[in-house]
Amino acid sequence: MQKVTDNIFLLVLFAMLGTFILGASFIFFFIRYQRRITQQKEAMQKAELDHSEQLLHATLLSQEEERKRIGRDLHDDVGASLSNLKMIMAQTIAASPDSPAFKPMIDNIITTVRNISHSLSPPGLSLFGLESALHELFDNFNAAGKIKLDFENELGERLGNFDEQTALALYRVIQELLTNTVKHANANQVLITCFEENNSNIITYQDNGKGLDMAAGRKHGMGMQNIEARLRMIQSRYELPAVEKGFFIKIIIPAQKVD
Amino acid sequence: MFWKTFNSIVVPLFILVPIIIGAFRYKTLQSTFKILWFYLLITAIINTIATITGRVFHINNSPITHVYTAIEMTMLIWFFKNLLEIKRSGKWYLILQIVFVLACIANAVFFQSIYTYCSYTRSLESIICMLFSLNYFAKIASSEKSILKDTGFYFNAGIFLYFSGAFMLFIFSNFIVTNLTLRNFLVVWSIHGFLVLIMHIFISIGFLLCKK
Repeated sequence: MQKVTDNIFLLVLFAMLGTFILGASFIFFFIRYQRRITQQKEAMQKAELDHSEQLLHATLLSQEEERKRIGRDLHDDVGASLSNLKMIMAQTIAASPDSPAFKPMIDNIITTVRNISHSLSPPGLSLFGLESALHELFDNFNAAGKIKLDFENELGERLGNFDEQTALALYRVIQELLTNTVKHANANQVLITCFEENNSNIITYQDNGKGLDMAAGRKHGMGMQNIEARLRMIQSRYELPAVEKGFFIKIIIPAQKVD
Repeated sequence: MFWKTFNSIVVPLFILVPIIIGAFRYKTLQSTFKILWFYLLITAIINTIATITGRVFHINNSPITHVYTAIEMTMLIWFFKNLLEIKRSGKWYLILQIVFVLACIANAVFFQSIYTYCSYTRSLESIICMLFSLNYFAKIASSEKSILKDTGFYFNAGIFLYFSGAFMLFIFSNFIVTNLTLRNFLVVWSIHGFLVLIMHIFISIGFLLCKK
């Protein structure tokens, strides 16, 4: 009788432990399975994100190439043709002084074509670097006389030594910011500063306009999306610290982006 | 002595841990988890009544287990209905609750006397709870977020571990009472105590992870 009792005890014990181990193992393998599924999903999402980012980069690069080509064609072909036309007109006017004064009109067209060509592809950027290209951009901006632009460069020559892709991206970002200020900000002052902070190069842009609607600006503004995409392309980022008045953006460029 | 202390003091008192944690975090609990908190509270009250009845008045407290089984299953069906977010087939859960209560009454009247352990209904309850738990695991299997951050997972895992471990004990419980020595009987019920502790630890973690 004793033997039978012992056996029942062991059987009950094993049965309880067995079903418990089955349950516990099920949960353990379930957690592992679910974790693997989550990791796979995350990896797929990351791959999709990387792919769309690569597409975006390729689009931006081909856009820049196209802009460069159109700018060059405008400058070299249309500009040269207009210069020839101007010379011919000068000879025609010298031969018959009564002919209409086409020269100022042709001069205007030449200036307009040059401006379009320069805005499509900043000529000094690849030759003289970002600093020179920015100075030219700011001079043109100040010449319009609507907004006063101040530029403080504490980075010195380093600003001119960014690699070409970084320089072009930063140039386009500042161009976009200036366009935004002119179009939407209702500002009369812009301050751009460049300096070093925590081993990174910093460019800050500030205007005294009506500022940015944070929710709408970050989520829907094409301009801000372009800025974000261009900065991501050069492994840089931006911050939008709160300011009392106007718009303020801080662009952080890693130190290694300098040639 | 150790097994006796463990079974009669440590395990019954440990239910206060999830109850206290749940009480402190009551405002952050979703309505589903509040059902579970009330279930623990009712369990604690019934356990106390059963202990007083058995130890102080030396009366067979098996009838309380019959009543407790019906209440426990009713509350757990209600909990799983909310946890599984069942809306369309809600009436089937109500039918299941009613049928189970009727089954408990029928069992007590026709099959297992109220003075013996209600092993049939306890075993049936275990099967139902395990099926509900597996259903919830299937539901969260394709979840986007990590299940370790899912509060429902901890409650469900606790219930699943308890019922899967205790299932065999419920089946053999009357057999154990009549055939095992007191020492072996205490050892078997201590394993049941460990399972209860595991369930209450999981439920406590779930309560701690609840956010508004």
